[in-house]
Amino acid sequence: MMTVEMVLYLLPMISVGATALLLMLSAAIRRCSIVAFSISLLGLLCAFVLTFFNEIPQARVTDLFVIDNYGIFGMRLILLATFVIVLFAFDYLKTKQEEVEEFYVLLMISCLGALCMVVSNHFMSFFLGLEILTVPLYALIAYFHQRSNGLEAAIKYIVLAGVSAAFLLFGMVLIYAQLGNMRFDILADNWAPMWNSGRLILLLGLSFMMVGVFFKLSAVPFHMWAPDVYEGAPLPITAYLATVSKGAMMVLFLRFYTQLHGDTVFAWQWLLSFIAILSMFIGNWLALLQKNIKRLLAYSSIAHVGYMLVALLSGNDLGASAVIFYLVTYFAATLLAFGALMLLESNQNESVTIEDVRGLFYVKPALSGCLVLAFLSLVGIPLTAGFMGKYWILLAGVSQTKWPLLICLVVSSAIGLYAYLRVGVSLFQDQAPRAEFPKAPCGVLKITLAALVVATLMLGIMPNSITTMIQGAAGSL
Amino acid sequence: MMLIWLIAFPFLGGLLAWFCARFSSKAAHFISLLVLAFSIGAIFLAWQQGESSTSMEDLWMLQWRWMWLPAWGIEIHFGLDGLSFVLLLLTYVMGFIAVMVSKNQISHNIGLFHFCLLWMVSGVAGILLSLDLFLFFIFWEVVLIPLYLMVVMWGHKNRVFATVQFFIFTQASGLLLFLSILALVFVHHAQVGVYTFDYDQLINTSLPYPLAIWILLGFLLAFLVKLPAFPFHVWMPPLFAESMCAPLLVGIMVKTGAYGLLRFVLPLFSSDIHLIAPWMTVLGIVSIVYGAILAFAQNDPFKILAYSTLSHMGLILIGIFSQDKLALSGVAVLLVTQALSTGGLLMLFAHLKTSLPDLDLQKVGGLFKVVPGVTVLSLFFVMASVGLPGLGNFVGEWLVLLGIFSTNTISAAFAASGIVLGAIYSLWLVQRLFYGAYKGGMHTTISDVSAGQKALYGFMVLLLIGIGFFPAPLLDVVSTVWQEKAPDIDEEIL
Repeated sequence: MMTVEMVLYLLPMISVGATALLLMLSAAIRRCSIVAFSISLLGLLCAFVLTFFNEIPQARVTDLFVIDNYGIFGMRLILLATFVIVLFAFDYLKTKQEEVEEFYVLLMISCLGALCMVVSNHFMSFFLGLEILTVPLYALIAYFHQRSNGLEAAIKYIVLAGVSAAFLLFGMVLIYAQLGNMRFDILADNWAPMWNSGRLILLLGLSFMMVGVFFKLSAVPFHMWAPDVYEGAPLPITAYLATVSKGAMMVLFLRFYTQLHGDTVFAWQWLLSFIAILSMFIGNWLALLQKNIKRLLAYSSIAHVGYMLVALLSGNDLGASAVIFYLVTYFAATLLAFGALMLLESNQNESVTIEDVRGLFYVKPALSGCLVLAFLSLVGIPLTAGFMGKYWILLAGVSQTKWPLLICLVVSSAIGLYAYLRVGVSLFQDQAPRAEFPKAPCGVLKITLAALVVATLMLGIMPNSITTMIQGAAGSL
Repeated sequence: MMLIWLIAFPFLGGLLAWFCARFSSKAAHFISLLVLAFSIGAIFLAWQQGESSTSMEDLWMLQWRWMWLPAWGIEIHFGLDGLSFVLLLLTYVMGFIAVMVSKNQISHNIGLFHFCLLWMVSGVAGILLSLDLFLFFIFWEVVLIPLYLMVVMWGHKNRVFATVQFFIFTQASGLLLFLSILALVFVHHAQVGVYTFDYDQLINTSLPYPLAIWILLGFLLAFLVKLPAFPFHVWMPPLFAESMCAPLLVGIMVKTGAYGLLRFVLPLFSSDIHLIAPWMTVLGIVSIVYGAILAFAQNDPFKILAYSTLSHMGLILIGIFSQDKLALSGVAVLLVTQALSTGGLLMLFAHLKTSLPDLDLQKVGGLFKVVPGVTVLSLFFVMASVGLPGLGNFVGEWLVLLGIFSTNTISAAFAASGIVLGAIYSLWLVQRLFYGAYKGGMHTTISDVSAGQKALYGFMVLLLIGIGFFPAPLLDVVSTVWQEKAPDIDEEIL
């Protein structure tokens, strides 16, 4: 039964959906990129404000969704990140010849899918959200079809995403066949009684589902698409893939794992530990070998998933809040890194390599400052967001005495350090930069970058207010 | 509040210097000197303030605390005692000298150089004053950033490799240190039920046996890398050879490793230290002998000094783990004098290197005729670092050896061998570089030390002689740290 109250709970999602419709209408009347940009921003802002009217412990909206502090926090995170990406997109699209209004439409629809995922409590909303998130991305990755790698990246993404979605669906079906329900909380109740008789099918279903999940998270060994797609997609979309698309799946997966009491299913834990260790090592190791900064960030994002899985495996409240906090810090640092990259890219040079930024510090100190801060945060140097995130993960791990995982985390981050350091060293070497960077940052992008810098530093120095929010969110899981 | 300023003042001054360098590099230079001079004044003031306000029983002369992250019981907690006072004073003085010397050696990005230098000084001040382990770790890591910038931006050919190696060594060991700190906090939480990173509280934790050793190893590794001790010294020789800031490293950074051992490892693990001490003594002996032998084989004077530092640090390591009060006081003296003597040598060699980029003992020699000033000063610093009686290093080495001898004769014998070997390679270095026949291939004119720099080096010379003849004030300040006043020290010296 749907009541008026329930509709109110869903208002943020409705607002984003309506924005997409409005964008289409306005484009039909008259194409104007500024109008499309403003409508998207307003829609996201509106949705963000609406999340503040939902401060409730827990509300089930039909079987599909559950609105609680955790879901609301996830929504806010997604909305903020999309907001930043729309700002990036505005700067990025300025120089393009193509018609750009549909870019915003697709972005809004994809964002709707992400919102759907973070509050979903049911296989159906899980799958629908995932598809709504993913399908617009196919188009977005190949949006500028003259780009050399755009089409290749999109095809790669379509095929692999399709296959992984099929696996996910099959896994869901197997679990449904055993337990007879698709709601997470009811699944959890049916789990224990059915465990003895149908263990094999349940585990099979679970592992199939994990294929879909890991693909979206780009965890090893389902990570192959990430570097190519990151390189081929337009930069704002790369940022979107690295943050929102990955974050929504992480938020959903954390809910799924906690609801099903994943820490009692040993096979599942072994699988996750294995994947986490592989992701950390292979992500950081391959990052070492990259010359292209976008590919480097792709591999680093693989490693970061590994870190988050370590926190997730540490169970309890501490682990859950560590995952969320790490996600927030990862969002801030990654967006900052991509924002800085936006200024380095030009229509002629779409893949910035480490060689290209050599000596950049002497030409553009502020921009290289942003890049350095982003990388320091991704490495986890104190006083940046990444350090607090890593601290929380280590804290969670130590509290559950997950020593092997933690040692792997430490060793692999030392490897990753070297990968990032190469960019840092290159920035400060005293030759003149090889490529010209004619682009002067527009005001919008400047302010966005400044805000991200502040966020990265604040999360590292004074995280008190967000800490309490996250603990509240994790508590409602 | 005073303590906050001891950290914040250099940092803010550095920002100001960076800003002013846009207009005039002289202004940046002047501001840095002024800031460090003020800091030196401020620390004496803080000491006086502490002395008048606290009684003898208090652990800390001066304290300051503020709740930072209440969710995890993390405080900003600073405290000053004799040990941190001495090392902090040394840091400021060495920083001051380094700024003075840098005037002729740094030609580009002068503002940023001063900022990095002062940032480093402020970070080390943070390390020396922090009494919250979380805070300590933050300073421990943050101090690497300016160092990293300095090596990358102002250095020689292979500096990138040297930097990366150094950074990875310290970062990886740093994360293990952090893991150990967290484990310690959790053990404490399990016993008391409170999350806290406070030194004064964690010190009372009784650790269960096998876990204690692992936590101890995590702490040890981080400090041994910074010290450095064999086999964790690998990063050091390339960094010395390639960077412009080797004097800073010796004068400022290396101290933090020994400080960590003295401040954290000894008190926190007092009940388990005896299990690890023999191994550390062995490591110390190996460092002494290995460092000395490798110093023979080098042709780069900077590398010789790097290995000689390794050798000296071996002695310090043995001294620390002998846990003898005399030896500990000796360690503190040795830390100060080693920074002055080896730091002085490094600065002199860096001076030579600005006009002789190819400073190699096989190509360069007989410099006495060209740079008599540098020669005389180098000879003095070499004599000091070899441990000539009457100079500061002798007091330190003698106290350490005396302390070790009372507990373990054999290790004392090995430790003393380092002094003999050190005398040989150091004198050989001076012989090859300054005396003998003047070698060809030096087309450039080499300038001798200027009058202003002479005054500066003269000050370091005076300090070394002063400590050599009147170590009592220094020992008095330091010995307050090892609880009882150890009244017999003064008698034995006289």
